[in-house]
Amino acid sequence: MGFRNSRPWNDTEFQALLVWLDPDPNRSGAAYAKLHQRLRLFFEGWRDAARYAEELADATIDRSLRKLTENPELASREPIPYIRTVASYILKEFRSQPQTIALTMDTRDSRTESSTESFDETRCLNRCLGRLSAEDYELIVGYYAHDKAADALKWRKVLLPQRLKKSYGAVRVQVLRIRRTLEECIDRCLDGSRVVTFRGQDNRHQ
Amino acid sequence: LGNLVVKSEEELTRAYLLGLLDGPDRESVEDRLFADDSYLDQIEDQEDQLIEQYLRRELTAKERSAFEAHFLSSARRRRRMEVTQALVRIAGALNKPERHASPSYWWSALFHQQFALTALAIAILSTGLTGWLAVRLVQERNIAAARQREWSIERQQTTDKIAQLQGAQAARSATVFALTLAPGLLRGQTERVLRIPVAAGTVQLNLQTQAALPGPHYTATLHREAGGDIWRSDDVRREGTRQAMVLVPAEMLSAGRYLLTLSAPGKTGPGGVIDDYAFGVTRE
Repeated sequence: MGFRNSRPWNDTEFQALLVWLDPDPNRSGAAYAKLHQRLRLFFEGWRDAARYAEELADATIDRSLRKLTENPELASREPIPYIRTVASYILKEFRSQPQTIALTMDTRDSRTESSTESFDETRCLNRCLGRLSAEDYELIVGYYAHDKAADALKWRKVLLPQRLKKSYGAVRVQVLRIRRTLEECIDRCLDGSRVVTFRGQDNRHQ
Repeated sequence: LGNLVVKSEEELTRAYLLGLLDGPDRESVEDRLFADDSYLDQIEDQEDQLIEQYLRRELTAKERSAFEAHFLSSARRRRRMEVTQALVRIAGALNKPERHASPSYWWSALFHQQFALTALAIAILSTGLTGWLAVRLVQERNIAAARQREWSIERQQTTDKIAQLQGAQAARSATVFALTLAPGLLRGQTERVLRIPVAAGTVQLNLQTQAALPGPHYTATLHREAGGDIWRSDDVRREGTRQAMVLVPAEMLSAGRYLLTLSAPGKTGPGGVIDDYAFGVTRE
């Protein structure tokens, strides 16, 4: 048993899912993003599943969509409670034989964490920070410019918005956007990066 | 009721993220997770706070252990922590006393000057335009526009310079030179001499240890033979049961003799020492 073997969705099927989540086409995309976030957080809540949270969330949506295609009457039910039940089944299946399933999954999260890759991440991070606009750079750095984690809420909710003459909500949304941009940039950078490593050039002094 | 512990919503969320909830408490968090959109934002805020507290060593021992074992098992959260770590470092550097030279101060000053000019223009307009005032306004606008152009050019130059420096640093840092060291303080025949290419940006030292390493992180301190600490890292990672890895900027290792000390995290005193590594360096 694995979670990768389902057939690809076609546009009509995916559209049916979006309509099920929210019939308003202006909101259904956001509803889908929130559903994925919910599922990912749900799987991240279980230690053995956390590592594969993204894949398990995808598998849950995949299976829910398949059920919806097989049984269109499902569309009359509330989607979130139904999909939550599917997620529980997926978790149960995963936990019954996690190793087998883990091996069949797309393991983009399970890159071997060698020191070279860790170093690569630092390099990519620097590069991606350098690509931010001056405003975004100032804002994202300013967001962390408090002394202790305990002071963070006051800084972010009151002092920083005052300084920027914006609401806390506006600052927060901007910061989340910048951070996602950074994270996506780092992922792309890591996928394409190569680090030159020399080995075996050390010698014992004779 | 003796064992009844009432937890606040924040405590429940925090415990959930650390994998410390079970039974009805876990279910209540999951119920809310699937029912309440605003709760997703709260969870995200809690994730941020946990990450920062971890990085600033403000978690309790139990929380820290749960954070490493559970929270960080998600690749998304690890990535978020790495990004946060870098941003906290940069923000910390900008918060130092010489902040007047920092881009933040420069940007802030720029913002306030622009605001002042705009306010002036609005004030002039709101009081009605007489002939000389209109002329004055045009002059102010021209001055403001000229200043904005200057600031824009200066800002672009600064951004370009930063990008250039980061590009150069990234290119240099990309060259990693890896070596393995066995513990020991003996000089002479057993001392290793590391031949490090001039082009190396970073030296990766794999430190073999005599005893098994119990934890994931350690501290390394680099000394010159002549004495004095010249560099320290608290980001030494266990790479195996008896091996840790540290990345040393190559510019720290000019030709000479060195002693590197591996210690328990943050404990560089005699009680915390795990192993010492004596070695020489030549640059080629």
